[in-house]
Amino acid sequence: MSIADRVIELNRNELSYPPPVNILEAAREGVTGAHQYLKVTDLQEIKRKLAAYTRVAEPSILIGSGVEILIAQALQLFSRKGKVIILDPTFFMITQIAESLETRVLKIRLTEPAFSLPFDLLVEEARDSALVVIDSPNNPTGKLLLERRLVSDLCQNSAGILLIDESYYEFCRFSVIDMVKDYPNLVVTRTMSKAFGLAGLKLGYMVASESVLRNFASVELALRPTRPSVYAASAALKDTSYVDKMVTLVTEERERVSREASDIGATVYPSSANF
Amino acid sequence: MKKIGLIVNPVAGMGGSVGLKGTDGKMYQRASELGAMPVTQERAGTFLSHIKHQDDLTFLVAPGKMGEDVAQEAGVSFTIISSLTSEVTSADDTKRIAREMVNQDVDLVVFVGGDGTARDIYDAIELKKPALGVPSGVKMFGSVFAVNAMAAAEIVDAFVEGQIRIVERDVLDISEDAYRKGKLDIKLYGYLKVPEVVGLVQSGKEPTYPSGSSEENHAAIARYVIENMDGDVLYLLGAGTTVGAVAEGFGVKKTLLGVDAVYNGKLVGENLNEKGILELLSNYARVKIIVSPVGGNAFFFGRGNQEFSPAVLWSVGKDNIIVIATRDKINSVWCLRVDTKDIAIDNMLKGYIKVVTHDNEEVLMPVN
Repeated sequence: MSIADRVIELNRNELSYPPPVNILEAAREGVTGAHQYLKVTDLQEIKRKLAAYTRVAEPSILIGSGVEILIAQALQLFSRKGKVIILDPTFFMITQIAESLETRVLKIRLTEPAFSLPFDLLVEEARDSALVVIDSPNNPTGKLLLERRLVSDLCQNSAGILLIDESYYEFCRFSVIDMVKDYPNLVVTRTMSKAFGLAGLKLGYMVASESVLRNFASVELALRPTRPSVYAASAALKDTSYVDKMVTLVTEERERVSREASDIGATVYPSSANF
Repeated sequence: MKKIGLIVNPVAGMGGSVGLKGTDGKMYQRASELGAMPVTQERAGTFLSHIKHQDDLTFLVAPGKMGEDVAQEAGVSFTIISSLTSEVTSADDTKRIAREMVNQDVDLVVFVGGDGTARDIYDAIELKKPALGVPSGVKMFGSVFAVNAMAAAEIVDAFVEGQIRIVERDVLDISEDAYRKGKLDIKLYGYLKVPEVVGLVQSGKEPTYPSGSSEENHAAIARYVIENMDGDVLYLLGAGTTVGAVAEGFGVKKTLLGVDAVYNGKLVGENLNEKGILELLSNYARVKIIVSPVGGNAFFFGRGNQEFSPAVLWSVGKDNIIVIATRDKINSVWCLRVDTKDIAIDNMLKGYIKVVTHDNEEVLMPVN
């Protein structure tokens, strides 16, 4: 085994444990039919399961080959209409894409030790923005940035789209996904790469009003995940009890490392994520 | 009961507003001729009056205006140490008194001054005792200073409470002659042991290394700023290579470290001091300032650019201040800082401010 193979890349925020056997078998079944594209019925099936898991209507769900491609597409699409607001720091891919856009970009700095959002200023700036992207819990600070009232205020006062990335939802159980039905400009993205442990299969989803999702219609086919991904994700959603176990394991371990790091004098910031 | 040594450099900081970049050697006489007023007494007073644990401290102070006067005025308990031989104080006085403080086993030496004073303290005490700078000089690019006088008081309180780490911090040697000629010549001079409270002790200045990406970033910032410039506005351009790139963008050769003024694309003032800026302000209806924070310690006013005095900043107003910085510089700090020696002006500037970091790109940064 080379040194590169032995490196544990903690910055990737992956799950440290492989998925249960039934999920691996489902992925294998997907590989067995690798000569065929994903069937529409398979896509409908995973949408149905995600609708049950998220408690939103099926037409409000868009599946993607990882959450990154969905966020990237949203950035490309909505930035054409005007100013984009992102956090600083945020998931590095969001920064990279935002910095490559032709439009005006405003980054909102989160500062230690609290890493809080200057909320009134954000609302003010969002008034004339085309897109606001907030990852909450935030990567890399682990800070849960939002409250429901704040999301309400932002949606009501923003001219454009508010995209909340909830990739670490399962580790904090705070979500605004149910608010999508009330706010046509609210978009929520999630992933199965973290708590579900399917990072290598890359499956993400977006929940938004049908009017917002229509913007993605022309690229929907290009965004679709692979057969093994959908088969595995579908099996994972059949029984999510292993996710609960994983989340408990990770959060307990997170707290243990946090305590021990504090004990040796390190500054440890509280986290609502898996890191 | 902790024993604190207090040394005030009475001439530190006088070169700032008059554009002399410092008062090392005999330059303070020139500063006086130009009308500069002493600034350290007020700073030292602010420091002493904000200490909550005054009753748990005893001060060993230098005589007269080097500490005694301000301790008397602040009403703290003190003992005078050593004596002065002349009305005009010197670096030798600072060193001699600091050594005497070490001999009398103080727990902490607090000095009020700038980088030059820090070097004198280092010469005298090296790492024998902890020391802390109350920023009152012109540049203060070293990392042995509190972020302002009130923060210094908080650090002393934490020191009394024992909730403190002592760390070695850089004392810098900045050639004032070179600085006045527009060159930044910084060398590491030594280390002092400094009581550290996160957020209250400033970082040192970090050099800006020219690179392909920083040049591209400078050009992008310049494009954005120039595109958004208004006509019939006097632009006051602060120090640094980033602001220099903006000047270059509209064809003006700027002094690297001075304040220059541009109106409708023409240079109307060069290497201005506070007086020169105030005169211009009375002649132009609309004025904007373009500044870049000091790399590493993130001060955009109060470190090396005291020509932008409280009076100047009050007149121009926060809305007319354009802050620019490369992505690398802004990514290396958590927040921006100001320390203008005027609490009302500092408060006006605190909160959040937008920093132009690229073409079409800004970061909303907290200012502490």
